[in-house]
Amino acid sequence: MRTLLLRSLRACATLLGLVAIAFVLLRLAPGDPAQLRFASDDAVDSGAAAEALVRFRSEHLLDRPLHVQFLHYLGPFDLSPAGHRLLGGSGSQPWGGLLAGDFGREYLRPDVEIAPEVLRRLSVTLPLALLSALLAYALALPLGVWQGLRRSSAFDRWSRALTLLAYCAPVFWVALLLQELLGPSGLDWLPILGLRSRTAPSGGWGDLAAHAVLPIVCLSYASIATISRQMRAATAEIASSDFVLAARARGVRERAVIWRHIVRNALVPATTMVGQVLPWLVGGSVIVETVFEIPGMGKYALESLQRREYDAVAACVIVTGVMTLAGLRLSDVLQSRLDPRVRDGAV
Amino acid sequence: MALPWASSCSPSEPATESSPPRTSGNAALDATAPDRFRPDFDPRRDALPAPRRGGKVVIHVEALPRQLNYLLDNSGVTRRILQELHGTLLERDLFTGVHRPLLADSWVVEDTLVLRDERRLYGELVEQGERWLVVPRSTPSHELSAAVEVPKADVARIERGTVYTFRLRSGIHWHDGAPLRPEDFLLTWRLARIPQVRCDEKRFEFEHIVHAEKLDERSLRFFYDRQYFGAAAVFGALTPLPTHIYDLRAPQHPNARPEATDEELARYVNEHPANRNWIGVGPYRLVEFSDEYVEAERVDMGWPSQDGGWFDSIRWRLITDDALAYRALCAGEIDFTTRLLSDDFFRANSDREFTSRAYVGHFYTPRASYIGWNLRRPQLADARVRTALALATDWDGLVQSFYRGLAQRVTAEWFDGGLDYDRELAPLPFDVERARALLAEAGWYDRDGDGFVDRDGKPLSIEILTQAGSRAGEVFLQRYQETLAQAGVRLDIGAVAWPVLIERVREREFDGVYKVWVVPIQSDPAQRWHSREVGTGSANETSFSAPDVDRLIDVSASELDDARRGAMCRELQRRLYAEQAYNYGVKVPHRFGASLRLRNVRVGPVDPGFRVREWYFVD
Amino acid sequence: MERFDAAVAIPGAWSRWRAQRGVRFALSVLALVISSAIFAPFLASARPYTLLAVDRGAYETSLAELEPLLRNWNARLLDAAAAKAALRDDDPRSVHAAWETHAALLREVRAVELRLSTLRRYASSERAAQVPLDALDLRLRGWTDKVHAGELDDLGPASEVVASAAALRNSHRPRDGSSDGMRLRERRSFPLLADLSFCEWLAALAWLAALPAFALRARARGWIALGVLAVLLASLCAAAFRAPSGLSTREVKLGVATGAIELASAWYPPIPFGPDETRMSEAARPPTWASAAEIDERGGYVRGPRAAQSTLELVPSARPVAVLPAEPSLNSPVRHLLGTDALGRDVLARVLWGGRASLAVGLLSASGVLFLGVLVGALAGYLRGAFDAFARALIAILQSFPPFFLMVTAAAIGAERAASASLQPLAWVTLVIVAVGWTGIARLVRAEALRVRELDYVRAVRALGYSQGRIFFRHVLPNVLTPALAAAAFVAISALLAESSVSFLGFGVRLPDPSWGALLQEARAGSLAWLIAAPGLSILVTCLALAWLGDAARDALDPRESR
Repeated sequence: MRTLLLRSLRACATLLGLVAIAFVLLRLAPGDPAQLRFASDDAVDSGAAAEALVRFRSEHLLDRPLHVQFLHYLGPFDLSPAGHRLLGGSGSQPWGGLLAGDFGREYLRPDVEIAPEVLRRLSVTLPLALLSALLAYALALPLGVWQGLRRSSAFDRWSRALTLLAYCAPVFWVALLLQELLGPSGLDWLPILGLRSRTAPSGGWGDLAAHAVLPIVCLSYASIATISRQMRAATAEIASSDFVLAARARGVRERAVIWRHIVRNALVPATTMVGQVLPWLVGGSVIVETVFEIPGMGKYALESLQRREYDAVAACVIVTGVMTLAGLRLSDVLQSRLDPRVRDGAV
Repeated sequence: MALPWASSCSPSEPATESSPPRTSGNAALDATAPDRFRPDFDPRRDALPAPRRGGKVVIHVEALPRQLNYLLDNSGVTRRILQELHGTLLERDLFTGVHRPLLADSWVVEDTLVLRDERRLYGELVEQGERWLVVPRSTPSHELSAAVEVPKADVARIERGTVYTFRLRSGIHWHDGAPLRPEDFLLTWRLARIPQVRCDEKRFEFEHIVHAEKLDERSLRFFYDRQYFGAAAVFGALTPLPTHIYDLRAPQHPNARPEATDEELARYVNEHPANRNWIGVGPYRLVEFSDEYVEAERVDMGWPSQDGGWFDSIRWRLITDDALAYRALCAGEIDFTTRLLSDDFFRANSDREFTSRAYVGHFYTPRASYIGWNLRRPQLADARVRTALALATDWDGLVQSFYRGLAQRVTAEWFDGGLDYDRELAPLPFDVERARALLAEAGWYDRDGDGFVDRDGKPLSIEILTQAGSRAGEVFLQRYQETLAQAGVRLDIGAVAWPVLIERVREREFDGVYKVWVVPIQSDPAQRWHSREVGTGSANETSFSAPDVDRLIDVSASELDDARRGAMCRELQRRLYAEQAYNYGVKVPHRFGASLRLRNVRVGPVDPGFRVREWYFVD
Repeated sequence: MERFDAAVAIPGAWSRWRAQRGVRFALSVLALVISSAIFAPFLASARPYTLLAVDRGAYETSLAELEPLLRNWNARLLDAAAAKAALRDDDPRSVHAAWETHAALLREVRAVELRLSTLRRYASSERAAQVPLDALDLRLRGWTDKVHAGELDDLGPASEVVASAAALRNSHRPRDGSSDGMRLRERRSFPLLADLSFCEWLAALAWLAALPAFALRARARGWIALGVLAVLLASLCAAAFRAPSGLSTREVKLGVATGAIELASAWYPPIPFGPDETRMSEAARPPTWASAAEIDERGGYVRGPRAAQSTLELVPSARPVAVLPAEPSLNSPVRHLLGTDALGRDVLARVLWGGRASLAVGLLSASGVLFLGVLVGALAGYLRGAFDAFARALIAILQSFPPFFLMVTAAAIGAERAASASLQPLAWVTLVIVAVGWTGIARLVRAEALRVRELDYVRAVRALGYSQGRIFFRHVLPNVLTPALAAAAFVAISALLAESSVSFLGFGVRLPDPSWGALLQEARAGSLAWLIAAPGLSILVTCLALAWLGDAARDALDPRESR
């Protein structure tokens, strides 16, 4: 019970730190959102009312010190002039901030709330990322084990060279090449734009699948390389370790040696990567979604960065941070399940 | 109204006018001809197939609108989409720019006669010897039922073209079924007067409408406070807003609260969900606004067939990367784009993937690139220095390589086909030697031998801002950096995000800024050049001020005669070009690609250059 | 293995590393890439190494500018005299004004001296030519000395000097074709070498010095290699981060082409194009060895899909394509080996120069990551206590962001602020990569340090009463390096990839400087295959070489793996 409490306290502290870093980073950015609000998209420019500008700044607390802005941002009390009575507001809008589940509204589209928007975008990014992670594990684990068991074979050498190549190829370059090669101006095998073609307004899983192929390949190939390399190293290490030799000496069947002793143990480091693969994929989605024009969170984050939508960027950073923390927790759990020292008691 | 630019309608394009018809496309045709760029079609020989209803057209947009309320979001994308989803009182003809009624059925323009006791009479003014005859033209409920005569001695001043009475087309309905009413137009005007409503980009348009009133269920009247050449354009662009949705205080509103304050109303309007889920009066009704596209379908809300649209639905598809738009056109994902990259545009005709599905063409709307100098910077305050900077600009090289001859040099930012543009004024040549000589004349020598000229111990070093990712800007400035260095001027390229650029220009924290200026076909130079617009945040970004220019602007603004106003504007143009507060660049082409399935595609100079509702599929 | 001695183990690993398959090859590939980055200015530049010529343009300009500059000088002299007269010790403003006018005067002096030295340099060496120049110089110097000495009253008539300058204009007019005038003499200059910065020299020299060091004994070699590497890194980075000069680099070629420079001989680099030398009439030209790249003098393409375009009436007769001196002829296959970009710049030159930025950021941020990671990790593991808790919390927080996501955000946000604080965007990107990336190494090293501090020999030296610092630096730090060294190459790879990704998204280098990622970003806008291939391949090859070395290092440092 105590350890549980301690753990959750620590997790809360980490979360707070995460929010603080995201917040400070974004408030330090140049480009005043108030100014931005009153800029048009076209080069057509007109005089903005200075009064409206001042009002906007005070509504969004942009004229207050940084720590007040942070508290306002964190919530659950709204500190703006319309905020909670207790804190000197008018009381028309008492709650707000992250703790009230409120990530604010976009500056430029005041009718868009950020929290649902990010969730919506996430519903595009997350399936892609999960599929890529699945693909990566499904390919990389057997590959790594195979390589590790057949070290120095021709297969090992060639497949290692290939994974090394994949490890080193920059994702945007691969994406551009694939677009050129397989897109309509090349072999015309696969669509390269968005997730839907115009002829498939709804349903149409085949269409969706065809659109998702290239993004998933681009997202996953680097992870395949990393995981298989890790898996190979782990397999090789365990295969030559004393307890495997001992098991073989005891006359345990080879198949059992491989599955029970080697693979299971080699999976332990691979599970630690579960927590890391998801953040890589989410990070990679910034590039992949931009290149393939997929309206997911990565593209949203980049566009928000370019438009100086501080609150939206902060929301993306925080959401991905929380997902990463969850991934790390998951890999902890998996590890404690798989670790023979925990399970078997002794080796 | 005379059409100043009708006589020179093809926007001055000598290269194509004199050349024989090309093997592909019919660019040499009359610019107003439909499908004139289509390779297999010659409108002089072939007849257009008969229009048919049906099909879904997909049109490329480079960004999705923030929202679709024209009052709150004045971006080009919003304008393009609203053109089909919504309507204005008047519409400009695509080629001539002449106003024709759209939501209005007819309209009457009258003059104001101000008496010495500040009483105002309006009606058509006819001069009769020592008297003015005021003849009421518009009905109903005109103050004057018959013509009156006023002795000239009693008249303080006359203001022509200041009272507009519109009669609405009957049978137009909002997409939710409510009828279009005069209140809807008045609402736009009233909202624009509330400072809390976020419409700063539109507000100035309405600031001279001093009064507006509803006359009956189909008529409304606006009063302009002064004689102004562009008054018709202000009313022409006036879009209605649905009173029963936006006006919290109106009895038509389902939850009407007549006591709501301006502030509450403004907040209600600013954050109203209908800003995205737009309810308009156009022939197309919004059905979906997603992260990838905006889609609308045709509804019958009382539009006559030529304005009612032929496609069953229109989708505006977001593709941020223009290079991908070309491929999307090849793949048949989109039917129309105006943003083909130069390389793609020129390789299109030899790309079988492309020619089997689409064709390319180009047109111009009034938009020109330029560098605006900050005249508050001491080194840029001297016109000789600015002229030298212009002489060291290789615009011609840019036209030939980057635009491959599709762009033309301009000497003013406004439309170059009108009477107010002096086409005789030759742009400055690219001449580094002369630039150096001019700099020396202004006292700039390379005193310390570092390759850059200097004066008072400071090198001539400027930073030019451009929007990061703007291809044309980045290409141009990198070339400019080299040619300026040859003239001994150091250039730093400030490729910054658009919001940062806007902020720095507003705060006047810049040396130069590269932009593309999109102007209406009939534009008022006052915003850019009048000294009353000097000051942080206002539109005269160069801080240019000269009394004679102010006078020219003021006089020309109230001149209603096109020929006389044109002459003044041309003088203004020559004056401004000599000042070189802007380093004027080129008229930027729209390079479009269109699917072969589209028919009746006409492209012209009035923004946005095409009308989707005229097009149709034949298959 | 109770006692792991780095001093013994690392050299052992070193020889094991060298012996592995492909290491020598990977090393030489890496050396080649780094050399091409370091020697980029010597390989691709529009300036010749040496030039023997008459710079007639400079001579004529100097001659023409002498008179107005002398007038300026005269005016400043009068100002100085006036300021001197108004000078009162108790009035700081007058002191300031005197100082200002004096500085202005000195600037004018320098301007005139520069003109005179150019005239002297190229004017005929005959007495008749040089004497008036010397006389003028002497006279002006005399004046300046008087000003310095404060003798402002007896300066003599200024108009006389100005008149003598006007006379020079006549007497020293250069010979033009058949007309009579002064014959100018050829002089030798070193335009390329003179333009190199100190850092560039240092990087080149350090690299050259490093090569023979490999022949030395293992121990000495290690230290020398480290030292050279440090110097190299520092200078390469300084060179790459240097603010762009903004100078037109092709003035020599242009001068020769227009006749402003009368050439006797010149020696150009193998690629006679600078990285930012534009050629609008050759924009977006395919690699010149391809038949599709053949063009005529008007810039029209002769065959291939582009030939169709040039027949379009839309394209007016382009300016004739300029082939400047020293450049391969218009359709020579080696003119642009990798084609040109949208501004007609040579892609090969840009890839070579782009390597400087990419490698500098990659290597510097990798060293930063290693340094910070090892330091924090070892300290945290060794000291435990509050510092450890703090470090662990910081690592936990930083690791809970997707690293690339955080990097892009930080790079985008800081880039403009950094630029306004006159920090190069690249330096900022480097900082960001270090700040985000050090946690992985720190965790590894901390775990190792936790193990090492409990080893017997560390306990023993602690019992002997050695100081904490000595124990840490002499006994703990060297022994926790192993995991960091094994990971070093992979840290460098991820830094390189991070830099190029950030540049690709448009938050990296400043225009028009190239970096591999930025080149790919430009390529994306034009969809031209030859623009996409070269920078991407450069990244790939560099990373592959590094990864190979890293794999070998990992094997070598882990005795169990080696066989």
